[in-house]
Amino acid sequence: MMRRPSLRAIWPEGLDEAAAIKALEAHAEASEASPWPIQLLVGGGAWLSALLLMVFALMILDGQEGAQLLGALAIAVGIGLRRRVEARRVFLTQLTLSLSLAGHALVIGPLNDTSLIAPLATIALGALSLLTFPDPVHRFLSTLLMALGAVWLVHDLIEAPWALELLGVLIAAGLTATFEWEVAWQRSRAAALHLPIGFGLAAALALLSLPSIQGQPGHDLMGGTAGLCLVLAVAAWRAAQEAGVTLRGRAVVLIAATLLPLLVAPQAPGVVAAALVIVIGLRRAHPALFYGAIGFGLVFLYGWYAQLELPLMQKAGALVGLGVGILALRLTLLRASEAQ
Amino acid sequence: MTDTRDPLAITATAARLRALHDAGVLDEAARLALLRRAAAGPDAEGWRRHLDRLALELGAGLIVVGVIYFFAANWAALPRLAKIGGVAAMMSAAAAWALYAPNRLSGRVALSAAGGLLGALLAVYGQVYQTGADAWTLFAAWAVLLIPWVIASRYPPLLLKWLGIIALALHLAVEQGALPLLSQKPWPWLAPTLAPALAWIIAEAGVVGRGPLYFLRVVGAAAFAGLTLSALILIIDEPKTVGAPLLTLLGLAAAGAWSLNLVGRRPFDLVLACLAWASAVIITTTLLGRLLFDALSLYESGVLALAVAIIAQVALAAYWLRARWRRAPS
Repeated sequence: MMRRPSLRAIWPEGLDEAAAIKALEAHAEASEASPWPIQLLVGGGAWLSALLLMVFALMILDGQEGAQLLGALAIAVGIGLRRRVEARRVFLTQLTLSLSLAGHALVIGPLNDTSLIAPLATIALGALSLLTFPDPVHRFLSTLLMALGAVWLVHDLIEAPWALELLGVLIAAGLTATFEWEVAWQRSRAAALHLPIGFGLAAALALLSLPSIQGQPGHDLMGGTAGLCLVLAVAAWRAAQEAGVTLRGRAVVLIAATLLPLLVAPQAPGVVAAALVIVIGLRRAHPALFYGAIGFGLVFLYGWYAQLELPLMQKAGALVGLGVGILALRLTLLRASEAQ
Repeated sequence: MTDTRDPLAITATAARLRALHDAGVLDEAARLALLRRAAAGPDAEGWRRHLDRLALELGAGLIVVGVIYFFAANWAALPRLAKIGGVAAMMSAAAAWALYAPNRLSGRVALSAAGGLLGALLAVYGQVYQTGADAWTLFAAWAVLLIPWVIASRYPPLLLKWLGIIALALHLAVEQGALPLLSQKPWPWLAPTLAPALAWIIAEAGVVGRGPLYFLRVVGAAAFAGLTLSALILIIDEPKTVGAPLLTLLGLAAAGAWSLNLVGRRPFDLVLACLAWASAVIITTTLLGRLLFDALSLYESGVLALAVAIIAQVALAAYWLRARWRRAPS
């Protein structure tokens, strides 16, 4: 079972348990945090109502300047109001979330010119709301918005596929670093940003990898895959180090994580990206990351199969071979752990 | 096993550790030490367990899919015996491994793979001998033949797969006109919902145990999806009979009551409760949309009213869910 330890499991002897229980009860009463199923429901509702608010604004307004002005106003009101109301006043918090999201759509929607202002404005708007809107759902979406703005910027600035691959590797490295330095985040004043940014980067990585499912004719994706393999190797090395694996064992993990995906699926960066998120999800016990990555990984695996330039019979053989290879790897791991 | 009566048997989140620090229970050094322990990943044994399961399920899945693709790719070139014998041999091999290691994870995964290959065998048989049967009969036969395997394995993923096959058989039976009484909308979606709904009822009743939480969540999500879709179809295409609306209403009421713990003795589960609220919000919003746009012909103000209605409903849902979640034992 993938879950973080309980307080009981890590509670040091000698600390005042009665005071701790009292403090925890007070914290539960005052806590503004909601668990992920509620955040998902709130986020879905906010998206839908924001869409309707945007449609309403477009129905009553003429011209894009008016829409952008109204959007900016909606963002300002949303941020201003949200910073003043407590999270327990759920109607107001939900209203501010919807207002701000609708405002973002109204401001960014008409930005379709070819200058760099549009993507830069998107990144800036994302950064502004990330820092000023104290809501985890909004912060997750702001991170995603910033990443999409970066994709837009790189696409317009450097019209070369390798640039987007490099951006994907940088996002993967950022994601790994975010969860690697979890304790440092929690010590800092930006503790509340940690999970929204981490999950936002994971979602951005999955979205950025989506085009690779279809393949990009005439373009070799091996560079991007190699970069992601390196990030995966670092993440796997750190996980092995933390688990107390010997230096030799870690070296095997490092080499396997770098070379195996590159040998099996050099044109499928999405598979490697999914493997990276699976490792992070397992290491930091985040089921949402883990299962999300499993889902995306299966989609990317299908993309890998579809792109194999082989006759159908050999493609089927490749699937069986990969399956047998994975089972053989499992057997080797079992034997190695039994030997230890 | 977590002791739900122990107030400290709750997840060691960063927020809780900070709260303990702010209350003076932990000093900064103790907070950071506990934070490090809470954020530490699995040990070597934990990683071995996770990777073992992942590799086993992925490896077995790839082999089954690869075998199916192999037959699809070489269909015309293969003799009859090879077609049926090949699938049967692989199914037997997987079943034999399951028999050899019934209590090991590999045995259960092998039985699931054999269950998948059983369907492939039925499909191959139907094609080789041109039985002319409708597709739904294939799935129905598959579901019937799978019953002893499901009972023998007591493996929830295989049970979920079996429920999925029954649902597909029911959907295809209604679509292909095998059940003329159920030919009207929304029966193609309502009939398959019976499979997860019945599984849910049996699980809630605790007749054969409730199974793992994820099982309840999957059947709950499937039942809510089918019932909500049926309700939306009924709202948009006004019903001509009372059977489907009555069953949908009853189903939604029962699912809602169980999910929100209004009845039953199961511990509160936030995921099921959120599903109930999401279903309620979707159905109410659709009803309101029909009223505003079709009955009252309100367009601009209708869109605004709908947005406000969604915000209000989700706010109410979040308020209720948070209050209920806080009261629930961890």
